[in-house]
Amino acid sequence: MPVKITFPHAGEYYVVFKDLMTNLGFEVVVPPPTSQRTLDLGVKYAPAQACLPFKITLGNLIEGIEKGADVVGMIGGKTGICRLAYYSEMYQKILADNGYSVDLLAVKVKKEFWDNLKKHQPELTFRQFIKTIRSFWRKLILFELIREKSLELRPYEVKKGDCTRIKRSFLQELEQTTDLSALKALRHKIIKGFASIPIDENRKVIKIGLVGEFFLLIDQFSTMNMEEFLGNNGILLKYSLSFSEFFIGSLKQKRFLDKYLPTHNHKVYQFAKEYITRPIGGHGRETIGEAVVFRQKGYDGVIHLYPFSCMPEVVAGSITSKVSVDWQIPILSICMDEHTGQAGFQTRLEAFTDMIKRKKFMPPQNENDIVHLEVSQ
Amino acid sequence: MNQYYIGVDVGSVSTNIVVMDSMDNKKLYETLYIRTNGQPLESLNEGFITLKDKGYCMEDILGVGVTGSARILVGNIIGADSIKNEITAHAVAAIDTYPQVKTVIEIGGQDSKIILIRNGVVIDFAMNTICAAGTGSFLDQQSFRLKIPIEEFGDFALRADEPVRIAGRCTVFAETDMVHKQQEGATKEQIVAGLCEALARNYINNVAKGKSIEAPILFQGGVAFNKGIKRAFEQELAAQLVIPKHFNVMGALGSAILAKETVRDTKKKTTFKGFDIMQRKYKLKRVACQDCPNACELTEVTVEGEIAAKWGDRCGKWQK
Repeated sequence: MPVKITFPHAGEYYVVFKDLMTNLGFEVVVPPPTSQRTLDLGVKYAPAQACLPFKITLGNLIEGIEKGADVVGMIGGKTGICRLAYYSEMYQKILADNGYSVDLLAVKVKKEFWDNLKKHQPELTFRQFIKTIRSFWRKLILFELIREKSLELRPYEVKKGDCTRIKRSFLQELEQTTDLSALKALRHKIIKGFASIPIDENRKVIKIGLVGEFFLLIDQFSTMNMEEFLGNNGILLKYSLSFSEFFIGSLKQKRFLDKYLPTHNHKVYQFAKEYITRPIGGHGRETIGEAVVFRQKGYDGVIHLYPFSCMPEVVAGSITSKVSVDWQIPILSICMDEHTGQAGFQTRLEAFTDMIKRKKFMPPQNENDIVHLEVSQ
Repeated sequence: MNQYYIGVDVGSVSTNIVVMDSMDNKKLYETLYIRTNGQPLESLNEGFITLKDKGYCMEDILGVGVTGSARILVGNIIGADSIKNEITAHAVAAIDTYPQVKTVIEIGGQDSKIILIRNGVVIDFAMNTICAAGTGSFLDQQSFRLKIPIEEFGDFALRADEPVRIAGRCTVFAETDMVHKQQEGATKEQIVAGLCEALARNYINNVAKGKSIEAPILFQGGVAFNKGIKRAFEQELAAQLVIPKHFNVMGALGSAILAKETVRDTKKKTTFKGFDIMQRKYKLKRVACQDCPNACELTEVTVEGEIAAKWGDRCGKWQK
């Protein structure tokens, strides 16, 4: 009998992870899309001070287990850049305490992943494993291409919803494609497909960079569909971090290279150095550095998202106001937790982007145009 | 023949409507300030009836803008040309009435904000996130408790010789503190003055934290009426506060200006449905969408049996 595995949602990345797990020999149980129920479950079982990502992912796992999974997969696992390091232990304990007896498979770029896999899949050969990883990687890159394209084009689309529609259809296609050569062909199709969307190039669009905690950057549930909300309001979004970079970034070798070679991260750390000299966990240092990099690339503003109680990002959040003044770029720091109301969140986003738009597109005020002011007494 | 733009600000405490001349933003024909009393639609209807009775007719309205916490609800029903957040609306109004302004302090019914402006553009803003201590609603509540009409609140504060110190961090603790000081024999005047100072302090330490407040400072929103708060701010900031003539309807004024901009930019005729729209039989219903586990609570507006608007969904499939 095949082992049934489930894993948390991270935006729509399940399309890619589902494939990875299937190829490794598991039967995949995709948890139902993250919903209010997911969050409620997470809040109920997680400790109160855990961060929003933990609560949502825990809820995902429980919903997956309810659907019949007996192994849960999760990135991180004993090593990690923040509290993520003990998440897997906590999942296991919380799940066991509440009567869900499951095994845990830590998905990571370490030998441990292979050893763990062998426990569940004794027949898996190393050759097959490498082959699977290769196609997984290709899919991951394609997935990120689709996402990036949709973010780039949404503010320009003539017919509202075009980008979302085409993104959905490509994701579905990506989910069904397994063959390596077919994936290559799909790449061209994606580029062509997005190029065929009718766009209005004269639109006044502003470019915003997104920095902050990794999970909030990809999960659309916890940010209340921010991607679409902002895209429809004429804002081009760019993420500072994607899953592929997240994986690569966890390699020791990569960190070594970043230290000495002029890589992207090298630049990021250089900019961050003035404010944060050493790693403080999470992506705190990256948040600061990336904000400056966005400024250098000519972006109009930066939105910094972080979950309540996330230490590295709280540190970064308190520095953003200084970065904003030093580099003359507007930065909006928003803290999210399960109590964040949609209205308040969107009011702030709208006010922030309006501010940038008016600054960019409004004709400057005439200094001599001073009107007499009536002061009420 | 005059033509007008209408700005509507439906907030938690008051519903404000301005009728602005189509050529001159400084010329306001009407400024209505109506208590919302938790019923935004009824209060708006009241305002519209007043306007209609004064002889304004739909043909002369070039555009309508809506802001405030009930902006989406109201904007969808009346067919507004622009639906914008309060921060943008207040900033636009402030810049329009006073181009040199550098800081806007706005304290409304349930929120308070600071807007920093340099050379006529907003460069930074902040809104109260933690709690509503120091906003209009709290003052309202305390004036009721102390049996002082809210209109005289400011005068009471100015009459105090020595304000008492009150904890302003949280409304609940502030009230506890006030009761305690009362029991120690402080006069009503002293308490009110202390409260004003506490609120100003709270605002500067929370909302305006880390922001450089530079003069000229505009103080707007309903609370600007309170002279006690104005004086407390001036003492705390060591600067003069300017209160614009239409301080209590600045949000509505801003949304009228925004409507004008929208109509000008899109070159379309207004989508305003007329003053009578509120009198037609509209029904508001909360429906739970059962299509996915999100169970979004939708707001459905039907006008004479016909669904006019539906919103509140995460996925966007109900919004037109």
